[in-house]
Amino acid sequence: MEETRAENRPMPETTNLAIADATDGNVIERCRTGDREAFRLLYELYSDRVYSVALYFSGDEASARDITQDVFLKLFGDIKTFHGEAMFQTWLYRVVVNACIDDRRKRRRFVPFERAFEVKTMGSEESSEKGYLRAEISKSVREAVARLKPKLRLPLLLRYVDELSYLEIASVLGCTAGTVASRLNRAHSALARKLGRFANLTGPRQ
Amino acid sequence: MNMFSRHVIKSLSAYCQGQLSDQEARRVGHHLEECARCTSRYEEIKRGVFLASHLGRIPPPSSMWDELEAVLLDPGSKLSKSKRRKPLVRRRPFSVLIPASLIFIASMVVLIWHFLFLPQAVAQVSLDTFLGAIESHPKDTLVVLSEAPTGFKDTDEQTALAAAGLDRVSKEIPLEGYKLVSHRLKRVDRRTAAQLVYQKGDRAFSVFVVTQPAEFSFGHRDVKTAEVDGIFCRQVDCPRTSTLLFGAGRFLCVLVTKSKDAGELTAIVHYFVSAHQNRS
Repeated sequence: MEETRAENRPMPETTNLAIADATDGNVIERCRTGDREAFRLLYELYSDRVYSVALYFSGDEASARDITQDVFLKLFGDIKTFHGEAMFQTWLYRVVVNACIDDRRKRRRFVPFERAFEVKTMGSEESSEKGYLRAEISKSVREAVARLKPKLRLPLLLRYVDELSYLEIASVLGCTAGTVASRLNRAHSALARKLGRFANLTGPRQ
Repeated sequence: MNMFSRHVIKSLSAYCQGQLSDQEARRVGHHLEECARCTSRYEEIKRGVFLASHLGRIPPPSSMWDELEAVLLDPGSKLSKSKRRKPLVRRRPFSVLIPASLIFIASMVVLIWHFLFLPQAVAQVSLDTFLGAIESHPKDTLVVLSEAPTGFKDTDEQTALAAAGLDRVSKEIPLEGYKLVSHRLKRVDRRTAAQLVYQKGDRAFSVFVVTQPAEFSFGHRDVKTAEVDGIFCRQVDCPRTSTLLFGAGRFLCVLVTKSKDAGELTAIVHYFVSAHQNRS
C-alpha cells in the first residue's frame, strides 16, 4: 500500500499543543526573525534525530544526507509560517516522514548499488566483550529495520530515535494511537523473529 | 481463563512500553496471568522491544551544516545532490556484481586499516570553559553559581533541557526542594553545552551537560578518579567548589557545587546518569 504524506491530513486535537509564547532566547522565535545563530542551534538540537530517522529508513548514507538537508531547508524556509498550532516536534517529524517517503518514491525505480551501509557511530569508551556484543546487535537491528515495511519502520523509528509517545506518533502520522500500537506490535514481533539468534538476551540494555 | 475474556495481543507493545491507561494496563496484566497464548506473544514482543532499543542516534556528517549554511547565506545556490549520490544502476546484476564485490572488499580493507591504525579525532574541551568565571568570584553560593560563565547565554527552559537530553524528565528535579532557576547554552568546539542551575534558598548547584562525544582537558588542575555509588567519575581539584566530571561517550556532565554533602552529590550524579540511561 502506498504511503500517504502527512501534511494533507487535518491535525488531530491533542493536549499540550501550544508552543510556548515567544520569550528572549526562545530558539524557534529567533529563527522566525532570521537569526542565523538560532538556525545553527536548531540544527544542532535536532540534526542527529533527523539524520538517524533518515538513515535507518533509507538504509543509505547518501539518501539520509539528502533527506536531512531537505528537511532543514524546508524547516528554515517555512518556520515563519509555523504559529504553534502543534508541538514543534510534531511539525518537524511530519516534514521528516514526508521527506523519507518522497525519497523512497524517487529511488524505487532503481536498484541501489549497495544494500548494506556502514554506519560510523561515535564510539563509546567500551572495548569489552559486552561492547562488541552491543555493536553486533545494533548492526543486526539496523539491517533488520531496513527490511521492514515502511509503514512499520516509521513508527518504530519515531518511537526509538526520539521516544515519542504513541499519541505523538499518531499525530505525526495522522492515524490513531491504536493503529500505532498495532504497527509497533508487528514491528516488534518481526524484529524478534528475524533476530532469533539473540533470543536469550532479553534483559534491559546494558 | 474466562472463555469470554478477550485476548490482548494487540495491546502488548503498548503495555510493555507503559502506553496504556492504568485500567487497561491492569486488564492486560490480569489476562497475561491466565493466558499462555498471549504470554508467549508478550515474551516475543519484549524481545523485539529490547532489540529495537539498540537504535541509537547517529550524528550527521560534520560538513552538513557548512553546506546548509552556504544555502542560507546565498539562497540562489543549490545543493548539488547528484554529485553526492552513489551511482544507481538498473537491474543488471551480473554486469556489475563482480566489480562491485571487488570495490566493496577493497573498501572494507581500507576501513579496517583506518579504524585500527589511525587515531580517531575527538573534540578536546577545556574544563576552564565551564569553570572560569565561577572560580573568579569568591562570593556566596548562589551568586557564584548564578552568574553565567563566559559565552553561556540564557535560553528557554525547554531548549536547554532538550540540549541536555533531559526534555523527557523535565518535570523531575535532582534534589527535593530545589528548582531549576537558570538555563543556558554555549557552543563549544561545534558542540552544544547546556548549563542548568538549580537553587533552594541560598544553596545552588550547576550542571553542565554535553551530549556529543568530547574529551575534557584539565589544564593545571589535579584530577583523581572517584567512584560515586558505583558510578566512576573524576573529581577535579577546584579551591572553592566540589567539581565532578561524570558520564561517558556521548554524554558528559560537569557538576559544580559548594556542597560537600556526599549524599547530595550522589543523588545529583544518579539523577543525570539515570535520565540518560532511560533515554538510551
